[in-house]
Amino acid sequence: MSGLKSTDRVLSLARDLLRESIAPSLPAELRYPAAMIAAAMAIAARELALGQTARASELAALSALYPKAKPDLEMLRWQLCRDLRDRTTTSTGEARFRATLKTIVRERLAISHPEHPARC
Amino acid sequence: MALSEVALASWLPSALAGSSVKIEHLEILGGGAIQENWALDVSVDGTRHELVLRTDAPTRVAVSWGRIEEYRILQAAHRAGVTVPAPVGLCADAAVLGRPFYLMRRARGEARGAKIVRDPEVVARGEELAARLGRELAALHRLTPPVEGLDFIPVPDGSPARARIAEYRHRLDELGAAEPVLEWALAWLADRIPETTGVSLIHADFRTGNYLIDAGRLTAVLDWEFATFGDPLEDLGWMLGRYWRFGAVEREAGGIGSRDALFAGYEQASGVPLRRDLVPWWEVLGTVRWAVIALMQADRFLRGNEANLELALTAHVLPILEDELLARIDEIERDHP
Repeated sequence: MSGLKSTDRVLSLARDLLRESIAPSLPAELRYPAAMIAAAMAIAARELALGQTARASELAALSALYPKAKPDLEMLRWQLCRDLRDRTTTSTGEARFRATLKTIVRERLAISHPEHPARC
Repeated sequence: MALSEVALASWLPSALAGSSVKIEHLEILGGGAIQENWALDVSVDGTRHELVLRTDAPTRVAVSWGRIEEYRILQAAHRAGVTVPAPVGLCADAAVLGRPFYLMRRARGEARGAKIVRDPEVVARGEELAARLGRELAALHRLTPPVEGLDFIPVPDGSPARARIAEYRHRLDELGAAEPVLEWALAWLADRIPETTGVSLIHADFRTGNYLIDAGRLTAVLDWEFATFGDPLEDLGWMLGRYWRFGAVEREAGGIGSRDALFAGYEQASGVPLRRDLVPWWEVLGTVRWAVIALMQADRFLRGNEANLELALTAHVLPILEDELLARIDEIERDHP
């Protein structure tokens, strides 16, 4: 039953089948929808494979900014957003905020668009 | 959604003067999510006219103008000498086709960005074409409020730059979105509000993908549904966004030519030097804007209103835009310490 733990691989295989065996035979007007389906499956597979690690990484980065706060990802995101909006405790020049945001973005890119090399 | 040729045929004589007006051809063109475009060939007393009929798509986004307003904007741009499809007629009566629509002359050319930037004629003429695009923007920006027919467009009260920051913060609040990178970028922008260089009619979506290019030459600027009054530099900043280069990243002006060529064309037509030093701020704002639009489109899917895979995938553009924000701000600070 170990296959049930490899849902990301199942999705990847299904996507490869769609792209390699089915899409080339589709009429022109269906190729874009097929490409979107393949993209959605790839994102879902990467989310399954990498999502938990990415969220843990983001939580660790945000917790380092707010060491006394409860380690709740959603709460810490909102705390950071409020601080940035209200300018209460941060300065945009602070290197540590920028480094935290870069960490978050790189993790997200790895899931959404791994083909896009991070510039930040 | 099908159009009633019978209803259309009965309306056409009111827009096209002639004793004999006949529909020869009607075919839907590739359009956006906001509108529908139809190729319409009509013979008027034996002379064939190649037109486009433009109307609302069923899922029009509330932030864009409807077809009546867009037609008025098209008329104003045409009068100002901007290269646009010539407006032919407006039907504001929704009883004819079920929604307002207008007619314009059909221009030749390619609008798809990925094809444009790879076209050998565009590559060969890139600098000249970028300068032409600059001249078009300068012609448009000569329109300052009040503009005939455009009294429905609000005029910014105060700094257009501040107004945009406030607008995007408001949209994030409406979405209930906790997006730290966007908040950070908006704070960076708010720390450096540029002086207003003017208040003009701006296209607000002037970029590769929204003009027609034929044999390396501009034939028409399209898609005026976001036009508004704002700082002219907003149009330049949006145009220079990396995401509008369709992979030809080294050609900063829309994947077509250099930013210097774009600016030089603009200055040549406007007759005054451009505040080139302020454009990078507007580039960053443009990226924030695109990110907010992506979030809004994804929200339409998430709220269950539209089971549309394309909308669902739009949210995944966000990390690319966030990466661009962080990288571009780093570059700007390096170049202007």
